Amino acid sequence: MKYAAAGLALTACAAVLFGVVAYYYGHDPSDGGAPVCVFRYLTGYDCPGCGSQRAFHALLHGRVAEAWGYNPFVFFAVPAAVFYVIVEAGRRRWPRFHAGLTRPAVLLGILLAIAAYWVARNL
Amino acid sequence: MKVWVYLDGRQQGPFEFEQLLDLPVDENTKVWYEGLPRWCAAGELAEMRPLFDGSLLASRSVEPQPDADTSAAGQAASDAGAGTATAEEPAVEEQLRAEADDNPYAPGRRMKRRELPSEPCPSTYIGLSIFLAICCCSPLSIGALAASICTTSFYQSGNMAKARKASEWAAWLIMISIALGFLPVMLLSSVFQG
Repeated sequence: MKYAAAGLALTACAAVLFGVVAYYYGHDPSDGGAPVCVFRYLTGYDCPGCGSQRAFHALLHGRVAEAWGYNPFVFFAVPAAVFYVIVEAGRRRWPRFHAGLTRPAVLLGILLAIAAYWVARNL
Repeated sequence: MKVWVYLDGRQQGPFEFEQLLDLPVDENTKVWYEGLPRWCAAGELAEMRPLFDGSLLASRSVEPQPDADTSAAGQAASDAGAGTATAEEPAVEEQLRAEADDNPYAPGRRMKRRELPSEPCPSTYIGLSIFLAICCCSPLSIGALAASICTTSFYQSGNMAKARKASEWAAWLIMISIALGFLPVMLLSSVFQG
């Protein structure tokens, strides 16, 4: 039962990931038609994620420098998010590791980093 | 098999294995029976498997004896405390205290040591929160991150109820930010640019 559910979840994630990758590989968000950030639409300011779609498109085509120009934050946030998802999934296996990485001080550091980037890119 | 369990903050038993079905025993409940070196969480023990995978329940419903069973369990529960523990049985309170000291979520020595809940810390959903921060749902993902921080700090101060509440908040903020972040985005982009 447990393995069946995990397999189903993995398959669903793989399907979504494949769809997203296929979409961004074929379609350049700079041409328009791609999803627009609600925060930017309403306020005119960039959010920490603005540019991530263009950066993703550039990365899929191997243009790393261009991707960095669109949104350097993606280079840190995506690995960090994947890393934390793995740590959370494996918390039974590595309880001490998980506990150390989810201490309030560490999480506060992440929040401050995102907030600082958000403010800095709009200055 | 005679089984002792640790429920409501005290050791109870002995019970027959089948009687555990009528008690609020879950996979984290500490249990002990003859042959175990120490008290163990029921979920860790292969012998306790039938209790959780439904096979014990199934085997009982084949030959139902409701009256006998429940009265026996009630009798056993009222006898609890006066249970006849064997000589080599480990002291449960001592072991639980030692395990709380060993809890990886315990705050460092610099902080004043408080009594930590025996359960693990509720999930913080931190990976999803970070992911959402770069998926254009930022104001809410910052809120979700704040809820994650509250979860761990409430947990460290020993307040399990508030920690659980904060964990729920984090989950809800993530779900709302996915809904609010992506659905209108699709509509807006199709109306104004498509």
